[in-house]
Parts: sequence; structure tokens; C-alpha cells
Amino acid sequence: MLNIKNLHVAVGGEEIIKGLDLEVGSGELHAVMGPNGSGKSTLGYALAGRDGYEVTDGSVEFDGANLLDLEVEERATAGLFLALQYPVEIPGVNNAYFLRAALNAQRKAKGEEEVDSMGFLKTVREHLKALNMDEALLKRAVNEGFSGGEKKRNEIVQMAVLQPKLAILDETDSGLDIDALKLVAEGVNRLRDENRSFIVITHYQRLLEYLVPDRVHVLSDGRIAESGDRSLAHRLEREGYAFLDTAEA
Amino acid sequence: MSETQQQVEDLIQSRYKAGFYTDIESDTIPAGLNEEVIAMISAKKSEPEWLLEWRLKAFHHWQTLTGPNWAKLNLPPIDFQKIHYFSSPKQKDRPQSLDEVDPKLLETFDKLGVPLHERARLAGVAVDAVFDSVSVGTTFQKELEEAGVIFCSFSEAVQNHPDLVREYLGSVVPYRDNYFACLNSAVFSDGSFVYIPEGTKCPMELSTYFRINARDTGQFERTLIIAEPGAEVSYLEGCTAPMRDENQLHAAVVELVAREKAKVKYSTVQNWYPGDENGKGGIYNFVTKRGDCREDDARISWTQVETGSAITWKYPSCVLRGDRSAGEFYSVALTHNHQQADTGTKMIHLGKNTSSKIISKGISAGKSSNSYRGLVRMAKKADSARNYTQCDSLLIGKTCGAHTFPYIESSNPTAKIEHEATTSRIGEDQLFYCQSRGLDEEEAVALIVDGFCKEVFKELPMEFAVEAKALLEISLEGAVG
Amino acid sequence: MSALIEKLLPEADVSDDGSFGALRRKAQKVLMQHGFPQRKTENWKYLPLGLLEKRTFSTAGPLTGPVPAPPEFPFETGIVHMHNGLLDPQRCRLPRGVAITGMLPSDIDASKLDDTSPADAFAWLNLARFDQGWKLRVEGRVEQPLAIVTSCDEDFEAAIHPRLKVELAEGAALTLLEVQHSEAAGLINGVLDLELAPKSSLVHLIDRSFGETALIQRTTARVSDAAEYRAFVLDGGGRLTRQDLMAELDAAGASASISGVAALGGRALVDYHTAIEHLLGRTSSRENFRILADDQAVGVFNGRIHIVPGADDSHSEMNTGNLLLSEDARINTKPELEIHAEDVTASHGATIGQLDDDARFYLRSRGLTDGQAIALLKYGFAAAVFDGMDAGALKEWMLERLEACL
Repeated sequence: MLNIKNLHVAVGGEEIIKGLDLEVGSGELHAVMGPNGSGKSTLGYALAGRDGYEVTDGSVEFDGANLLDLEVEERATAGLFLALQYPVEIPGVNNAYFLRAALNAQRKAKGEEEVDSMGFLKTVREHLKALNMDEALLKRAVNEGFSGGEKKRNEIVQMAVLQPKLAILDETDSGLDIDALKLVAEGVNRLRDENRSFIVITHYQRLLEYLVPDRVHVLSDGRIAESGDRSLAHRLEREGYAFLDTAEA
Repeated sequence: MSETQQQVEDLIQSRYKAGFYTDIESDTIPAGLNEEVIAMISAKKSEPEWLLEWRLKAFHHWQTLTGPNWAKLNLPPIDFQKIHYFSSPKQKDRPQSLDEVDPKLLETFDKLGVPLHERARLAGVAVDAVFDSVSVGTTFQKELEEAGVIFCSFSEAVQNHPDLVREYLGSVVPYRDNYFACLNSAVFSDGSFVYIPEGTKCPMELSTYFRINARDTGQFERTLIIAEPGAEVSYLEGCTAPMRDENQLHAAVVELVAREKAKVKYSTVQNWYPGDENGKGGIYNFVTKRGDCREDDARISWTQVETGSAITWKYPSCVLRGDRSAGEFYSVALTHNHQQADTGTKMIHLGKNTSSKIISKGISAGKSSNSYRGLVRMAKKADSARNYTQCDSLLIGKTCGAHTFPYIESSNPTAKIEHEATTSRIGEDQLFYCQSRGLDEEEAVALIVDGFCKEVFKELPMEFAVEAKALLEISLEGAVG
Repeated sequence: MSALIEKLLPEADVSDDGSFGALRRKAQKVLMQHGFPQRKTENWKYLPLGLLEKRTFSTAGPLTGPVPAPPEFPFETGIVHMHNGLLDPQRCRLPRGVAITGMLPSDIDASKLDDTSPADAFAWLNLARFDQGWKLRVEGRVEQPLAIVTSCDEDFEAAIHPRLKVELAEGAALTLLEVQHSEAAGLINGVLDLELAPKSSLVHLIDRSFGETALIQRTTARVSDAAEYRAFVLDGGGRLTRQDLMAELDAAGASASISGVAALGGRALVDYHTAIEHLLGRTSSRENFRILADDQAVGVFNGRIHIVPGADDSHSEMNTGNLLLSEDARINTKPELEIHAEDVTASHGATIGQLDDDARFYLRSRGLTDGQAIALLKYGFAAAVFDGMDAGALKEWMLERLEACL
């Protein structure tokens, strides 16, 4: 599904990702953990193609295509979804309108019919309900005046509607209370199948209690310092990230 | 005025502590404004021919102008023929050192809290003291000279550094700029001159203290500060005048030039006599101050605390010409009784990636009127320029006014401007809270006002921040209750 | 200046049917004395009037040819159609509760016009030259909106001076919809007075776009006790558009809100001057104005809040946001506060900038093209202004019009 080789990413001239390799197979869920400043969010943005995140070296293959050749929206249409750590507020743009516009843009790019508004609303309402979100949020502007938790859950609603092939969740768990965290995890688990992959970027292993990862990677100073199975997350929880220093020393 | 009389006066009007008059014989040019008077000023200062010509050009232009009427000020007509354009304390020759200065003058500055003589002078601050139309002396001359810094009266600079003066005079504020700048260009008497050579950080704070003493005299000083590439200087001016029933005119011009990577910080604590509680007397303070960030990465910062003058009309501005140059304006303006203040700044962004910040705090009490008037302009070539402006007004009482007139102009699609303004009164709940903790109402107001102004005070050099705070408290006496 | 006087006040004697004589003579005197605004006239500094000086204006004649039909609306509405500045009686369709009569001299209050400077020259000009004045009287709560449609012939090159007054009786309610579109190189110099009696409520919508037609419009709403004035403006630009929109809150409990958006492209030059006068205590106002300037367009917004002495316990909030979308576009804005009272809160915020890069990325990361993202963000930026409108057919129609403007 995703094959990253020797990825280097610079932001404002400073190299943040310094030769990262990562392979995520179909249907797999990988957790990327690491201390603040290790480059976790940069990885998400670079894969989504944000301006200012300059790939200086390496390659990324996504579902058979060269991801780095694609524009931001082409990556989305190709099936890549990034749930932002800080979802952006867009005053004046209706939430439901935005979601439908996004869905139709993606369908159009794939040569599919646009969805009719009744069918669309029905689906969205189901997803909202599953995440325990008020339907009234659909009528509000995108993320405007949403609580921190509502913003994160709104990202999951978008993901559920857009049905990506690869979803990158950038610290979607941060700032959530335990109930909201469970709802988010359930939302992700409902979407898991053999054709869909996930990269879950997180600082804590809390979320991984509910989302059982196939692999856990520890990012440190722009590289993957260690990879392992689920137990690695537990070890991080117990020992903190300090062991990385000792490992390097 | 005798000592006793003085004390009585002080008791009656404890609010304006600098209101005394120094009885000193002075050499004053007869009232009136014409070419002859201008020639007399120029001759008294033994000025070179080109400077007299420049003055006359300005005068001829001024004659074609009419006074400004757009500011939100109630300005009675000024009779420019009734003003004395030059007055200096009589002295045989220009004193060669401070020891030769008339003790009465030294005493005056002592009383104002600006001791000039060696044993008492402020540590780390060089002072140029201007009494009516002339500079009476400058401290720490020697120390500054060693650093290569020139800090002297404008008249001395004309004699000793004519080339520098000629190159820069009017280069930031041309004589045609506005009515009062033009008048100043014709009749300016003295002021301060600062030159910081390349790569030099001025070893101490520089300060000028302006004192208007003589009756019916206008003060028209001119300050010119030049910071060569990489130079840094912090400059402070203070001003006072005796209490009089008549209005007196102060029309100064300040020009700052900051070259590549130079930093100029200019602070003002303005406490000219504001007039009495019925609005009688006081200084008309019409000042043109402008800084030119002439080359890349230059930085100019204006800080002002304005508590005095009957009428203030002043907009310290920055022309951000060099790429990445930066301008700042921090202002506290307090008006009380019948004072009127119209003050603000202009930030003219010409270069790329230029930035500016404006923090203005206006406090109005009594029957006063306090306006912020500012301009932020992003020129077509000012790519990615940034401005942030915050204007807050605080009203104390029912009969004062607080106004905000920001002009915001942008011709560049990559420039960003943000402007915020609020007007409010001191909240009952704030007052109650302070009072319930044992402060009386006046103390509570002083405390709240101090908090309101904090952002600006922290920009002042330490010793002046304390003075500014005290000044505010004194100026607010009787504002509540 | 004198060139404009000759163009716009051609005869020495102002035509008069007798009853408006004194007002017209006064107007002419002020105009002859002070002329038209100059660059130095404070409230006109951003609006060059050179364009008007270059044009020749014919005198408007009576309606002769066929008058085009007013636009269709997707909702039931009354219509007053003004074509070439003249009322088309055939197409007048008034909702129940609204009556129209000719204007009387007593309907005109010129006491607040400035007669000491050129600042109000165009209002004086209207007074000197208006042909027909009309008055609409509104009683009770009128359910159907009333559209006042302004149009001109394609070759219309006259200067016209329409004058209208709308009076809402105590407790009356109306939605007034001004629809103004014209391409021809004439000048419309209009005056609209709105009188809101106690407890009345007026929703005032403006949908306007002009080609070469110059518009100078002065609108004053006088809002009394517990009355409410709400304006929503959508301006698609014009070669020279100047709107003065004033709300005078002259009794306790009066409130006003002005929301507007100007979406400008081409060589549009649009200058909005709003003023909210808090003349008594316990009054409140809100204002939200947005300009999007593309191509070589120039957008000006001058918003003024004035709280007079004694208008204690008044509250006001003003916000203006501006987007500069091209190299050659310009925005000038001046949000003014003039506060003389105690116990007031007043604030304003102003920004000039570009579309938010974060938001643009966010939309694209969900699959929208950059073009779609930009269009959606522009729309969102502008549409927020109409959040305060009651939901319904009118709001939907305004939003559709907005989309068309962008």
C-alpha cells in the first residue's frame, strides 16, 4: 500500500525527517510513536503534500503510484487521508456542504456519479450518531466553535464518509477524554478491512489499547529508531522515550 | 516669583510639579516672524549661508500654507507675530564646560530631577539640557567621544559637523512636510544631534531635557539622530514648562535615520504644562517625528508617555524602506481637565518583509479629548509585510471623549494587517475588587491604569518607567469621585 | 470642481414646481459656495471623482419607450420599479400594509446636512435636482417583502436624482429589498430616508452591481425606541459606487446592525461609508463588513461609530475583514470610533490579508482542487456576513446572488 524509502523532509530549510523507511501493507495498522519534535507531524504533512514541507530526497510509493508527483488533492483522490492534529476552522463554509463537495470531487475524479443529497445526508447522520455527535454540527461552519474533541471526531466522520485507502491519524487522541477516545477508536475499527491501511501517529500508547497495531515504530530525530510489535508500545509507556538516548549512546 | 510665592503655588497646584519659573536674564529676539527675524536667529548661531537659505526657503513655503484643521482638536487661532522665536539665557560666551554654566540654570535642572553637575548626574545616561532656545550643556561628552559617538546640541553640530548636518537635515522630514514642520524649519533654534558610527553600540542612554522658561516664547527644537550601519542607540527626551495663563507653542521636528541593521529606540516622557483645571494656559505641542529605516534590517522603535500639554498633535512615524526593516510604536496618552490630544503613528511599508507593531493606550478623564489617529500603508512592493495594531481607550468620567481613527491602506496581496481597538471604562467590579482589598478609589484607579499601560511602560528604560508611572498617578489626581 | 458643477447643475435656476423652492434654493447656494468634494475632503479622500468630470450627462426625459420588466424573484414580493429614475406606475405592486404617495416638503429634513463644506454636496445636489420624490408608508407587520428595483436603459447617460422615503409606523415590520443593476454610463445620485417609529422593525437588503453606471447613494435610517434596523448589503461592484449608510439610534432600546459584502473585480471602485450614531443611551449596534478585491478593483470601507455625550450604557461592535486577491487590487479601510459617553463598550477589528493557507491545504487534502478550495473559501469568507439573516427563501436567494458575484 505504502512504501517509503529514505525519505528526507525539510521545513524552512531545516531537515526534520532524515532518511525514513516505512512499509505499510494492505489492511495493516501501524503506530508511529515518538517524543515531541521527532518529526511525527512532519511525516503526516509531507505525505499529504503540504506546501513548505519539502521532500529533499527519497521516494514514496502509494498504491502503485509515485505519491510525490501528485498534488495535494490528487493524493486525496488517490485514497490518502490525513486527520489533522489541529483541524482548521473555516468560518462561513458549511460543514455538510464542505463534506459533500469533498466527496463529490473525489467521486468525480474517479469518474463516479455525484451523490444525491438525501443519500449523502443519511450516511453522514449515521456516522455522526456513531461518534455521538450532534447533528446540528452539520449546519455549522467547518470546525468553527467546535470543542477540541468535536474537531477530532469530525475528522473521523470525514474519514468514514470519504472511505480512504490509507488514513493517517495525526495525534487524533490528544485532548480527548476516555469516552471520546473509545468512540474514535471504534470509528477507526469499523473501517478496518483488508483493503484499508492506517498510520496512527501518537504520543501515548493509550489509543493503542483500543486500536490493535500490527507494527509499532518509534520515531526519533527524523528516523525510525526502533520497530516492533505491540509490546514496544507498552515498553515505551513504562520506560518513556528516555531509552532512545541510551540506545543511541 | 519669590520662594514663598512659589511654595504657595506649589501647594495650590500640586499636580504640576514642574510649573515654576526661573528668574534669569535672557537674550530674546523681539516678537514677530519675518525674514529679518530668521536672519537674526541664523546670525546669532553663526550659521553657514546654506542653512540660512534653507530656513528662508522653508519660510517662503510656510507663507503659502494654511494651518491644519483636520485633527479632532479645538484650536484657537495662533498669532504667529506675537511669539518670540528666540530666547536664550544671557551668558557672555558659550560655556566651555558645565562648570561655567550659570548656577541658576543648573539649579533649575536639579529641581526638575535632571542634575547636570558631575556628582549627581544620572549614572549611565548622558543628558543634553535645552533651556528655551539653546542647549546649556551636555554631560558625559568625553566618554561618548571615546566611543566615537557624537552627542551635542544642534548648534554645535552645525559648527563642528556641518557636512553631516547638511547631508541629513530635512532628509526624513522635508521642510514642505506640514505646516508646523515647515515653521520649525524656518525658525528652529536648537536641539540635539546624535551620530553613532558604524558598528557602534552607544555605551549609554542619551537623553535631552527640554525646558520652556521665558514668557511668550515658542520652542522650536530640532533633533537629528543618525545611526550608521549596525549602530545602536537608545534616546530619551523629557519636557516641562512653567505654569502660565497664556498658551505657548512648541513645534519640534525629530528626524531619525537608521541604516543597515541599525537600531534606534526613541522614548519620550512629555510633561509640558497642560493648563489649569479650567483649560487656561498650557503648551500647544505640535511635533513632527519621523524615523527612516533607510536600509535593510533597520529597526526604529518609538515609545511615548504623553501626560502634558494643552493640545498635542503628534504622530511619530516610521518609513520602512529597507527590506525586513521594522517599526514599533508604543504610546500612553493621558488627558485630563481640558486637555486635547491627537496622537498616533504612521507606518509606511515600502520594503519587502517589513513589519510594524502599534500599541496605543489612551486614557481620558475630566473634560478632555483623546484621539488615536494612525496610518498603516502597505505599498505595492511591500511583499509579505506585516502589521499588528492594538488601540485601547479607557474612559474615566462622563464628560471626556476617546476616539480612534485608523487609516489602513493596502496595495499588496501578500501583506497582512491586523487591527484591534476597544473602548471601555474602568469596570465597577474591578474598582470594587481593589477597594474590597483595602485600596481607596484613587489608588485603585492608579493601579488599574498602571495595568492598562503595562505593555508600553515595559518598553521604557527602567528609571524612566518609574517616572512615567508616577507622572500618570499625579496627572490622574482628582479624576475620580 | 466647477466643471462638475456645470455638468450637474447646468441651469442657473433650479426647476421647481413651487413647493420645494426654498429647499432647492438653499441646496443650490451651498453647492455654488462649496462645490464638490476634493481629494482633501476627509470623507471623500479615497474616491476620485475624476471619472464624473470626464463624462457628459444628459438631462433625463420622461419614460417613452417600453420599460423592461423587473427581474423575477423566487419568492412572493411586492415591487416598486424605478426605471431611468422614474417610477413605472404599471409595474407598481404594493403588498398589503404599504401605501405610496408623493413626497411633500415636510418629508425632507435637510437640517443635518453639512452646509459648511463640500462633504454633503451630492445630497444637496439631489435636493436641488430631484425630479419625483416618493414616500412609502408601512403599517402593521407586512409579510411579503417589497422590492425596489432600479434599472436604466442601455444607452442611458443622464444624471438622475431619485429620492425616496420609507416610513414605518409604530409596531410595523417590513423587509425592503433594493435591487439595483445597470450598465449604462449615467449617474444615479440617490437619497433614501428610512424612518422607524417605536417598536418597528426593518430588514433592509441591498443587491447591487453596476457596469459603467456611477452610483452615489445616501441612505439614512432613523431608529427610535425599541425599533430595530438590520441591513444586509451585497455589492458586486461598479465603475464608481459610493454608499453612505447611516443609522441614527435616537431613542433608548434602538438597535442597528449593518452587514455587508463587496465582491469586486475588474476596475470596480466601491466606497462604503457607514456611520452608526448612538444619540441616546441604551442603544446597541453591530457591524460586519467584508471586501474581496480582485483584478484592479479598489475597495474602501469607512465605518464610523459615534457615541454622543450622555448616550451611556451603549454598546457597539464593528468588524471589517478584507481580502486582497490580486497584485493590482487595493483596499483602504478606516474603522472609526468616536466615544463621548460613560459606561460604554465599543470595539472594532480590521484585517487585510489573503486566503488562509492552512484552510486551503485542509480543503485540498480532502480532495477539492485548488480552484474549488479558493472559491469555497471566498464564499465562506463572504457568506459569514449573512449569518444574521433569518433562514428562508430570501436568505437562500442572497446567498445564491453572492455565489454568482464571486
